[in-house]
Amino acid sequence: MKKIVDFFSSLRLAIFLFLALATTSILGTILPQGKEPGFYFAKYGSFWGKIINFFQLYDAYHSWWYIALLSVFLLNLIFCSAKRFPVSLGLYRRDPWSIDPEKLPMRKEIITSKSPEELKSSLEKEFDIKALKEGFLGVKDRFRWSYFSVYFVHGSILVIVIGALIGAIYGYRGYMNILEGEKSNKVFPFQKKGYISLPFYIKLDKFEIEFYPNGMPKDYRSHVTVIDGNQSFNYLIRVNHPLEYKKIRFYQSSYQEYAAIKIRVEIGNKSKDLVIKPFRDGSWEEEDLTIGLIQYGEAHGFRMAKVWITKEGHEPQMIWLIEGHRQELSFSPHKISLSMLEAKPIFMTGLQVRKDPGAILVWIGFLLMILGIFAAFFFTHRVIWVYIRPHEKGSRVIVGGYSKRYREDLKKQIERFVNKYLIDLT
Amino acid sequence: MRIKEIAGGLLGALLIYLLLAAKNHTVLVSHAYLLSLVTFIYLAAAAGYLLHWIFKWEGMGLASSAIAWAGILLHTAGWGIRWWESHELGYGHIPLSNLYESLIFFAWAVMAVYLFLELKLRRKALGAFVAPVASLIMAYASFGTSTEIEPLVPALQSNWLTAHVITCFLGYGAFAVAFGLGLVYLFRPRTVAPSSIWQYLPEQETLDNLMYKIILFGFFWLTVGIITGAVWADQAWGSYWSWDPKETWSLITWFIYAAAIHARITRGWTGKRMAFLSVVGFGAVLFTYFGVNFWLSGLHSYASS
Repeated sequence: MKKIVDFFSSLRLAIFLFLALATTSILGTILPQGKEPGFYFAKYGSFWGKIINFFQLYDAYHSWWYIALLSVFLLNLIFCSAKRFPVSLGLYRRDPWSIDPEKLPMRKEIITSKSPEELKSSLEKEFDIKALKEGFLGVKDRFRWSYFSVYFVHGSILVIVIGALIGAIYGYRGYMNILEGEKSNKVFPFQKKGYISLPFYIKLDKFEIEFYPNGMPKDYRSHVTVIDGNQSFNYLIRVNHPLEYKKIRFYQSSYQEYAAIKIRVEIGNKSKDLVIKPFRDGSWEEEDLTIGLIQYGEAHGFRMAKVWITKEGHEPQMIWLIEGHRQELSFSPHKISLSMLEAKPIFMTGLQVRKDPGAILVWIGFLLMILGIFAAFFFTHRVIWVYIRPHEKGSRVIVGGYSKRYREDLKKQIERFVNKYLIDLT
Repeated sequence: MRIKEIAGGLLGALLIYLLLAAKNHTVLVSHAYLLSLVTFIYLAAAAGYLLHWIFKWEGMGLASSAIAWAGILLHTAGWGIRWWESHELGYGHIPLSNLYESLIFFAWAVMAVYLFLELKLRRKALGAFVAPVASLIMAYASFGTSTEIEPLVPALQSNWLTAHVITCFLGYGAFAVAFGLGLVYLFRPRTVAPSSIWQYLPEQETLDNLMYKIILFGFFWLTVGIITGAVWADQAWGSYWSWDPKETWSLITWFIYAAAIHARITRGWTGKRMAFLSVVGFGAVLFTYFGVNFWLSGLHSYASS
């Protein structure tokens, strides 16, 4: 048991894990992620294909061995912190007054002409001073709390991981596509099959794109109405400006341009006008004829639509139509002519949807980590002692100091101190 | 304080700027011209530092410092003018949005960290290692990438852009300087003859301490950079972490420096191994910055052109 604890609380393990995680994290950035197993066999051959599939390198950051490494890393972090905490507490509680003033660390000794009382009064601003049996002892003790900053950093990692786990278990990420003028409450998750029905609807009133003069996109805007029972409100979703409602966020992520088109179909001397919308085919029932939209676009000022046509007992056909032009095609023995009378562009917005109840913990963890690292790096416990004893020439002064880190700096600080208060006085 | 160098730098920068302004009959000198000139100013500083180091020439050290200060002041001015020019074009944004702009800021951060170090250290020979790096970065920015000001695509239109890029590049700049120190540490012989040129560089222990402190500084900013990136990604893409190659490589860099810091704090891993990790860590920084853009595809593609 002790061996296991020692293993998990060792710093060697921590350093090994940092470097192991750094090295293995490279794999997922080099190999394409999230493809079918067959892809890897085809691209890398059967030997490497097998290895890639065994080690789940197609989803490297969720593979069993990466999760295992991360788990050991967390255990290591907890054990190390738990093992060191009593040490830090001991250092924190150590009384700076209980030192033998003759045996100060980093000791420097000086004789000055000033009397001990004079020195005492000039040092009182910076030091806590107590009278000893003979002379005075001054203590300047700074940033004693800094022994604990490292636990904030380590704790923040745990908070972030817990937040991420809550998000992974109770949250989801998916997408929702809505056509202009329509509403939806269906979210299709990225990871699972099927869909999630939200308890409210999002209606897309209008979608807009704006371009810079040089043709680069400037803005994508989805004007939506959120409809929840009898209540409703408008919102403008833009990139970087998601909508949040009932803890669910909607992000502008993509768009598609479709159209509603009106087609005049003529067979012999009969004719009928059909209106076709995206995902809504138009039918002429008496003739067993159905037309659906495949693609819509504009080029050189012409509006064009690619449609498919089926007629009972015939192979379906595809054809490009240009607004205002007549096109012929045959389902022998019938000759059919099509003309696109009107085309009205309709946009479909692609919203990314996410619910993440763990995000708030992740944000708290981030904040803790920044504050913790700042405190841990830039503040370190530092004590300076001054022991002043009467001397035949005036005073004998012993200066010493202790610092957990940056001893070089402390040495310099003590030298500066000696120059400032003691050398000037002689 | 080293008032002489800074004052000399300020004077030099003003003089150069006024000359350019007078020659071009304009108040605002074109940023691209100014910044490509800075490339040569850093190169001059590098040459000066080298002369100072090799010939132990004090006066030249002072002069190179002043040249470097003039360089960074003109650099800052050029960056500010580019910002101004972008507003004049009608789509103003802080110049931190594409490869050119990030390189300019990277070189700036490298020089800023170095000059700060020089103020504290009172030694100048290290400039012979840092100034050429800054000059190379500026040269690549000016001659290898498009200097045209472009508007921001929707994903970049966010206040997080400033916080994210500035923090990341402060980290990168610090790691670049730590890398330089690591190299010097590795090449410097253990014992140095009094006449050797190595005498002019800080001794091993000072180098080691400096390297450690600069790595801590860089690590803090890298952490803030990764976190601001995550918060922004959540705002823009709906996910604070997607294992995008750029994200992953920044995490790899973070792991390497975390290893260095832990090794040093508790096991007294000083000296060679620390210097080695500082070199490897900077390799990861460079890959995060360039390698990912050129060889791996992902969400950060706007940084590659």
